Amino acid sequence: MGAMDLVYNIARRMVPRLEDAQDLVQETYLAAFAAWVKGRKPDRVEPWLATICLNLARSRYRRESRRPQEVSMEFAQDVADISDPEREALASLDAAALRRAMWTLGEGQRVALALVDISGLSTSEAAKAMGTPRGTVLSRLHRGRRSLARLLGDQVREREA
Amino acid sequence: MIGRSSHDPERDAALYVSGEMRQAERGRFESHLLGCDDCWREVSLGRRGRGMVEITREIAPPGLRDDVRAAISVAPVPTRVPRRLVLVAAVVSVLAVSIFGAAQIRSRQQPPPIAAALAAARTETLTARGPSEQPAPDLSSQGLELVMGERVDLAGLASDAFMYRNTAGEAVLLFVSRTTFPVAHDATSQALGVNGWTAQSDGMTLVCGDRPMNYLVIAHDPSLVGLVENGLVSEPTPS
Repeated sequence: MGAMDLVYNIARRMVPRLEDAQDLVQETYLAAFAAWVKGRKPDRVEPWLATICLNLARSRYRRESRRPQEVSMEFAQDVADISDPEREALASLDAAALRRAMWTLGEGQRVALALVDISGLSTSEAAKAMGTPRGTVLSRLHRGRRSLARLLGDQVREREA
Repeated sequence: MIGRSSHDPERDAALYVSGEMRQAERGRFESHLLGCDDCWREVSLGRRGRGMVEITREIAPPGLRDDVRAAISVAPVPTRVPRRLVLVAAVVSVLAVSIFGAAQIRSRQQPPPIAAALAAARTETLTARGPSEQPAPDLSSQGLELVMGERVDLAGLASDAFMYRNTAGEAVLLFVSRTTFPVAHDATSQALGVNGWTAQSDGMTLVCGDRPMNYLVIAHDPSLVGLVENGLVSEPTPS
């Protein structure tokens, strides 16, 4: 995943509106540019950009944005007919519906998933970017995965009932 | 469990599903999994959840990349930057590419205009300063289709830039300038009677010449560079 895609994916999970996410990406790069010119040369660009993006989102958007609206579980209706359980159910899930489902998670879990599972950072890098202990990241990561997995399980069971 | 004092299915599942267990630790955990319902359940859920999350991965819209480049190109430069404008432009160009994750470009070894041109070639992106001054050479006879032509600023060196693609979609960039291009690091002289040079940098081939105009051609595939040169020779000299 390229650095731009990485920042975009993080931004998309920090602010609900697409336009705000794109603004956040731009602000992230401008901040990185300013820091770079001043001599900041990170060993790895990706975690550095992730940290800038998270910090900007927290400082600028959290105040402005209302808490993300809870997303109903209606995305389960997007699932196509499922005859075989997990694999087909997963394949049939609509990415947009899953993105909406991620907004049902708390910010910490959502960000941990974005950094590790989407952006490919290690949990140590994610912990540094998030400013939390690695153990916290592991916990948020797993609980976020588990919450989404249970959603899928519920859907499958509903379909099979 | 697994080298730690307590049995922690959540933590172990998170590490295992994230692929962050060392080989020996992973082997022990996999043996443990067979007899531990809690860990088995957590790993199953973790895998399933990770699969769902990966489905949500997105690609940044193409326009966003251009917007960011444009924003950086007009951003005020912090005062600690060297004052000379040429250097500032070089820093901006090189930096923009570096931040965009354009791999570990060793552009700092190159003269700034060459580094900027390499960056544009690697990212296949031109940050336009306006329309090109000269018409794009027609290289269709070489099987190359013009994709875009722009006026660009290569770290202080004004140039027209033309991007072509062959039928396989591979890109080659042609820079044409009224100013002589600087010589790339480790360049060797051209052997075809043209005052120019050829070089390899960052896995790309660069060829520079001054007839029929000052030009610089860059591509991953050296044969594409040759096609452009052939096409230029058969092109009428621009007025």
